[in-house]
Amino acid sequence: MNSYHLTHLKQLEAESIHIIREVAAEFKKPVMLYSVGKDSAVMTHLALKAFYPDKPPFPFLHVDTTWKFKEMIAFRDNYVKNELGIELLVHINHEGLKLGINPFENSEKHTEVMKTDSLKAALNKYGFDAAFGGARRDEEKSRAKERVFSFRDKFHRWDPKNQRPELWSLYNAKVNPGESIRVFPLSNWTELDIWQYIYMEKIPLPDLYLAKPRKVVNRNGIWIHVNDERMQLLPGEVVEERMVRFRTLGCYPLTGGVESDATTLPQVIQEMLLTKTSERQGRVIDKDGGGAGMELKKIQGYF
Amino acid sequence: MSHQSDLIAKDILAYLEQHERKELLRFITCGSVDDGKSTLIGRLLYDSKMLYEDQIAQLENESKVHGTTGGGFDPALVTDGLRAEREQGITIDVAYRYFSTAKRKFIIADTPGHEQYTRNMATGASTADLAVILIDARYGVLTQTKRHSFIVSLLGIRHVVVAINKMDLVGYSQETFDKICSDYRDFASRLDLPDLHFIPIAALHGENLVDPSPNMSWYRGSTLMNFLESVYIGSDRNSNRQPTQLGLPRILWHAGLRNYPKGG
Repeated sequence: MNSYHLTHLKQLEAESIHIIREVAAEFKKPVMLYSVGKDSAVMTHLALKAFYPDKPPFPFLHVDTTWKFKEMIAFRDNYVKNELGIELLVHINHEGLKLGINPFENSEKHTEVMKTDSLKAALNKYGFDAAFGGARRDEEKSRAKERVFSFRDKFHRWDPKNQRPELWSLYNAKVNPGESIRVFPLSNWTELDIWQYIYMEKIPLPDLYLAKPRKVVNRNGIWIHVNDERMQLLPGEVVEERMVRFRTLGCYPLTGGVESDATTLPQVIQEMLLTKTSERQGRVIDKDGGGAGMELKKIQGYF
Repeated sequence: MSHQSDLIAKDILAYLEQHERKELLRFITCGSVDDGKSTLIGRLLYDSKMLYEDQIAQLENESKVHGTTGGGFDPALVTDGLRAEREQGITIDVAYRYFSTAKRKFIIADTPGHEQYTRNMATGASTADLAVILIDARYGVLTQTKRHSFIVSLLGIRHVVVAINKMDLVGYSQETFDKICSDYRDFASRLDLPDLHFIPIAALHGENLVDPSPNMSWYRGSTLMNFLESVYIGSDRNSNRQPTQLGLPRILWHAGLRNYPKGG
């Protein structure tokens, strides 16, 4: 067979670019949510390809909880904002800061106020009617059920029992004022696809994904990075230096690192393929509210 | 987990190069309520070692609470991801699952069997290259089997595998299997299903999914996994004969003419 043949990655890429262009064409005010992680990196790359040589015709929005790894913030500003020249909005929930909300005392409250509420406030403030997110269906079981164009009512709520039909590559972009959609161009990508694509296309990433000696403490069996002086140690906890890398990036007190010797991308992929636990295992917030944690958060308006 | 290849440990770069060139097959599981669609997928993922240890541990816990297998591991819970689904033991909306073997990468859409959720089944079916239609061997071809088959035909899915499930509950009877096949063929002769296959399985126990079943030695065909890996889909997409498409750059965007048609 010497005919024109698309590999699975090329098919995924084409599908995602199509989705991104559909949103740019159909919506009045789209925004791309940017969270600095590997999925955001792929989404950024696809958005650049979709409109090249022009810049993406929508801004990027980072909902900053102020507890992100400092390497993430540096990467965001140096690469996305300055080097790529993308219009970057940063939203912080200052009300939450004033109330002294922090991830140490109550991780559930922190996520709700500094992420979910903050995201909703930002979307309302600018009046965005479509927001791209980098979530993938293979990440979590309620995400596996979500449409590519995920409709939200004016309170940003997802109704899992009443989703719109979504046939072929036809996406329903009809929303009334105040309503919006969340769009997931990476819906059909897996963790391996993301890594492979990053490797193939040489997409830059924060070096937190690569193993290096870092100051960490062991908390409930996961390695938490002492990323700055705000880290609160519990009685009996000892700071050690270990070779650690991160499979997902979020708020540093809530993101568990894994011990690893993988200092290059192929080594990271190799470890990922040989591991026996899923990537969200290191996420503290998924365990909030038992097995349905993510679904509840999504109904409340979290991504 | 999953990717059972010696190359991963030995030579990751060679593995990546091989994996980069895999084909993609999208398929759905459909059929009537309780014919075992979610169980089939759960078992397929479990048998091909596509579940992580923390996911299996979580599933074992949930099987005790919501499982429909009397406390034993309930593979259906792998895909029934919504609270309402787990509480009621039914599938409401389509769930997507991903796995790959040495030959192909698969996207599975697990679709709901209940009549009132048929529209969600159609959503899942619209992007599929192949449909696995499940039939409970005890009940044969039902109304919902026919309805789903009709949608499969209508949406132009070319490859159909009719998986006759729960063969263990009919004593692995070849006669039952043959009877259902002939009933289905009768009905399907009025539809447009150009590539039709039948496989007897027992999804809960993983029989004829990945490994051939010793209880059905009368069946000489391929296992479901074997079939999914080898069915030829290269000619379906017709990439050669599509009209030429040219991108239209958005050169007018910045000239204040935002309403001009744009392409990309």
